[in-house]
Amino acid sequence: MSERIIGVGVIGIGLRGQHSYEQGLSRDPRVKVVAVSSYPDIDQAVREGRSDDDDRRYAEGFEADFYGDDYKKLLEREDVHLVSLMCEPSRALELGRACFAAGKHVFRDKPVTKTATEAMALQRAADQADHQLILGLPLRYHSPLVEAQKKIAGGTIGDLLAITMSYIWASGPLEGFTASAGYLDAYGGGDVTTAGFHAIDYLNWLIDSSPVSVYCEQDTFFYEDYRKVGMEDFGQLVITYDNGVIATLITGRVPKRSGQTSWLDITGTAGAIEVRDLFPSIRIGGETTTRIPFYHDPLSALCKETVDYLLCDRSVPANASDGASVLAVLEAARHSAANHHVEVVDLTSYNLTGTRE
Amino acid sequence: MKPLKIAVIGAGTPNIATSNHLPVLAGLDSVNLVTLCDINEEGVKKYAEQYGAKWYTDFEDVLKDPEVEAVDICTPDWLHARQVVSAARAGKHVICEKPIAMNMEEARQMAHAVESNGITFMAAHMRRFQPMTQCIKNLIERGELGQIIYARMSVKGAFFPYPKGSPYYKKEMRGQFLHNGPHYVDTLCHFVDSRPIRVHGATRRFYPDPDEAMEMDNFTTATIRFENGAIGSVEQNLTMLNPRGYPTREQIMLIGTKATITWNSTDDATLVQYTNGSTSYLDPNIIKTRTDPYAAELDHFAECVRTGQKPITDIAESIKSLSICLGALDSAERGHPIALQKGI
Repeated sequence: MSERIIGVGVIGIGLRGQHSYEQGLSRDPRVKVVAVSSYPDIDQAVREGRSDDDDRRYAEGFEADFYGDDYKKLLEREDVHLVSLMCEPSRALELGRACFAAGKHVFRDKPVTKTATEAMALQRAADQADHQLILGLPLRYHSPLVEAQKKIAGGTIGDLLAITMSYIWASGPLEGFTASAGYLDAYGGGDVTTAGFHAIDYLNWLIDSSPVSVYCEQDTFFYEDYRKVGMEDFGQLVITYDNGVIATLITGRVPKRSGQTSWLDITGTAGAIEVRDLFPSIRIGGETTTRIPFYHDPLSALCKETVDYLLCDRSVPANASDGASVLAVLEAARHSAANHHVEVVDLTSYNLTGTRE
Repeated sequence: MKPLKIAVIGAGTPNIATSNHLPVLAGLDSVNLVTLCDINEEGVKKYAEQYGAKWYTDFEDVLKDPEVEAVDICTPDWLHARQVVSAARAGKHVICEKPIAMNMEEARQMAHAVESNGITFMAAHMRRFQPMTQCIKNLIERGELGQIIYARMSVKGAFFPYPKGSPYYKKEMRGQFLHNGPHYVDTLCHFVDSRPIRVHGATRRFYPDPDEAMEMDNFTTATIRFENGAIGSVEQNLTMLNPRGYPTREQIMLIGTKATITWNSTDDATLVQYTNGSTSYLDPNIIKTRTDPYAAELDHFAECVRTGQKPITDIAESIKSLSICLGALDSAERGHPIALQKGI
């Protein structure tokens, strides 16, 4: 890329606009959000209560040159190099393909698509266009988790035996969000799918082997609107990998009052590594106990590295193939939970190997 | 209340009987130690002299002794079922170490013997009597956590090696998860307080020294689903053998609809001792009085015998935790979850 500024176009501001990746990207002086667009036929259920006026104000916040509901006009702009594609997963393949056909890179939130098959199709579209799909996975930039991965890749604790990870969201759902059949259809699952996507990708990255089977117990425990549409909010997965590692993942969402409990416990043949709190905080005791978080912002690191890679024309660390591996596990997990079986995860059926080149 | 006259079975070598049960028995008003029994004559004589008790080398002689009202069975795992059945037929009340049996058929025979002979049976799940367990249970019963939707118990540390040639190394013994797993499973069931309906298990092994390798795996993770919807998880990771010295770490994590509880034995230890390169994590709340969990469980057992009340870990509760442990191991072998039967 000859320009020193990366122009970002945002498609899908109505969805998850409160924490979209373009906000992180735009904090980088080498990035400018130049255009913002909606897209046709958005299911109102997945807009989380946002109106067209909300979308316009969001665009104005970036001082973007263009705002509209025709994403094709955004794709025609030469100053858009990267599209922050914030649509629902069920639309990501269609819109992503359009981006690649227009010669744009794509930055994509999780779940990358609704299915593993779609994710692989999206990656093929990126490869054919010789452009990149960057999958936003902040856990790969969470400093203690990065350090753990480095130590394991370096053999510090020998061969991996077992990993247990608790990755639980203890806030939200976002204001204005109500679970619906439309949301469930667009995303394929609830919070085991969305929170679990991050954690499963991290486990796949850390373990560097193909997941081969999964057992899952999940249910709706907390949210009445989830229950009405049969959408899970919490569960546990036991994933077995080709190299023998057994990974137990506790994930989903709990109400804020239940408290944050996210940690990682790794066992190897020559030692152990523990990340005892993914979101450490200082506790101040007084009339009430206050917690002040002090962990760094992995989102900023992710966005900075994305810009670095794009400016240097280097391949990004996580793409749609990684997303497909995660979705293959999640699809098997949903079948497991529904049928009370151990489900086989066959990455080869998606032309995936599960290990890094 | 009249003290319960008790015989401790399997008290001839340094083990749970001689290290944990006998020292607390001596200080209890609710129980009178009358005799010891072990096949190791030299050993049982030594302990009998120490505690001022009679001794036998044949369990049948204990059962014939009219002075003995109850037996405290601390023998190797594979003897538990047959000794419980014999004791029940002889009209002796029984407190039995875990696992109560090696398989469900043995457990059913025990249940039948206990029921048909009208004796009091209690499994020695002493963790229910730990102050911390009782504190958490109290919080649950007061509604502070709301409904428990997820419960996890785990232990991570070094495999505790048995003497050379011990039958515990054999596959038929089902490994450490049957031997020690019932403690963690029982405590989890105590917290969740619902019937387990299915269990999934996964295991693997790591023994860096082939000479101390058991025939069974030393890592087990069990996922349990309960009738009330709660998900349970018990992980016993005894692979921390290289390097030596990893401190045994137990963890509890409970998620309720109102609050979450987390605890672990290293971060939350009340007394930490560093000596000669090793670290010990101690709970000074447990002292040799009634607050000692072994003392508290024996007190409870004696009270149940005298009053006729049902022990907190009666035969049905004990079979519940046994069925989960066996189910998890079966599941790991067969590669699918195991549905757990209702009742005995």
